[in-house]
Amino acid sequence: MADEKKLLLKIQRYNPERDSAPYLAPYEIPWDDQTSFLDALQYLKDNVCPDLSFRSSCRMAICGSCGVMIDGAPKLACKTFVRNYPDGATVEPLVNFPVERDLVVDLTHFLEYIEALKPYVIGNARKPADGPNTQTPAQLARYHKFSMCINCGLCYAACPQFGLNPAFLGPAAITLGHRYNLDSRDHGKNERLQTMNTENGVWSCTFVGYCSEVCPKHADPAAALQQCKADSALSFAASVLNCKKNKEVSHGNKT
Amino acid sequence: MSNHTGKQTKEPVFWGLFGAGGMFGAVCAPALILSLLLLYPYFGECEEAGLFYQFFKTGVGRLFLALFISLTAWCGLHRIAHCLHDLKMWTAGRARLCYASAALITLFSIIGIFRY
Amino acid sequence: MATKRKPYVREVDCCWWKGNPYYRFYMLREGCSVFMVWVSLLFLLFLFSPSSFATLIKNPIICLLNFAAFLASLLHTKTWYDLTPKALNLPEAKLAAIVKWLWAVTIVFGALVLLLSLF
Repeated sequence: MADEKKLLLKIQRYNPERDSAPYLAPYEIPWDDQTSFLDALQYLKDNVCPDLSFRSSCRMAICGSCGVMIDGAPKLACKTFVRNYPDGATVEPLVNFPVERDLVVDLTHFLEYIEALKPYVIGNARKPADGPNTQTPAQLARYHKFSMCINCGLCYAACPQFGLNPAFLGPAAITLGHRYNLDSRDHGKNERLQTMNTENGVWSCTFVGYCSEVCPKHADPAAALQQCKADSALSFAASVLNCKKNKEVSHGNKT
Repeated sequence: MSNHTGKQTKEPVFWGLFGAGGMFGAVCAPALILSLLLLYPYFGECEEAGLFYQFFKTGVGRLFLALFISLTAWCGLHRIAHCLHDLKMWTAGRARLCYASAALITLFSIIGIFRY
Repeated sequence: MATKRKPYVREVDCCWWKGNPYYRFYMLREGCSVFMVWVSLLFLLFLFSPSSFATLIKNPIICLLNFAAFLASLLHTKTWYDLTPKALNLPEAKLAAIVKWLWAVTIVFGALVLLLSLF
């Protein structure tokens, strides 16, 4: 960063041991065309404020650790370049999550919801001796897009419904569940739909669509949610029909 | 870990009606509004009114319009119910009020088929 | 050791949608539903009493509202066809074909209604 160019970043700081509320602090950073926001944060931590806290790991948009709000939009700090913000920018922690310290948020809700939707193959009785469980390219294509999620949480920061109701399972978790519902090797769809077809499941979604807009991997959570609604509706209709059938059967047994 | 195997909702019913109304409205609403609300004073009232206006004197026409009225009401009021949630307004009984209104409009539209 | 954690929770107020153009458009899209209900009520009146319906829609304010409702219905059609393919798990080419068909049906229906209204 030998370049002389300087840029003003306003960074949200919060020290739980000292501050009653977060506040914005101005910092000047040197930059060139290759400087990402993660580089800028690392520069500040190394040279200006060693106590600045933020999460990061891979620097290449694959680990999903460095999600922050840049000028109010959820972004991966490593995938967003300073050169696109010539007038400076504001960096804040992801919204809709509690702030632990500086740019670090508490993702507990998100992680619990992923677990709740059982994103793994269920009910497949195949054994290693049976050989590989093959799929056709068409079978893969049904869920490929939805398997791109890196659990960065940007879609939760983009989702006003999660903001309004933190019990909502949210975009990424439901997308992951849907990814397994669509997998030809999986048999857990009905089990997952029990969790999806609830007030805080898919029905909290109102198709705002911003989740798909901000997703750095184009996993399209908004599409997954709508497809889950359709699946939930179908399974609901089937359960109503089954209920009637069962009633008829039990009625028939009595008479 | 929070319990998310909560009770199954009846939301699919309302979502189905919302979807049907939304699709019906997307295809038909612009044309119906143009014809019945904007052009009616010019072409619908005179002696030799356009064929389309006479369509609503037939049973099929009235059934079609009643279907449009009730489905768009379900679609619109479903969205309004969610919108009120978005705006943090009217928390108690919001959905019930909206869906009851839609049911009422449906009832009246059915009566309306036979009232000419 | 007692924890020194003190997570700060940022409350969401009812104005959350005002600062982001994407959210503002979402509210506009959802707001069109008010006009949907408005149109539905007017048509209900038409079903019961065409004559009082005719007097009502000649009122300039109602006329203006109806013109707004027409624009709202166009926005509804556009956004509905943009969003519908998302609910279907089909290859891109098929989705594009479905949306084309939806537009074709809408335009043909519109032209037919307009033609039959004028003559």
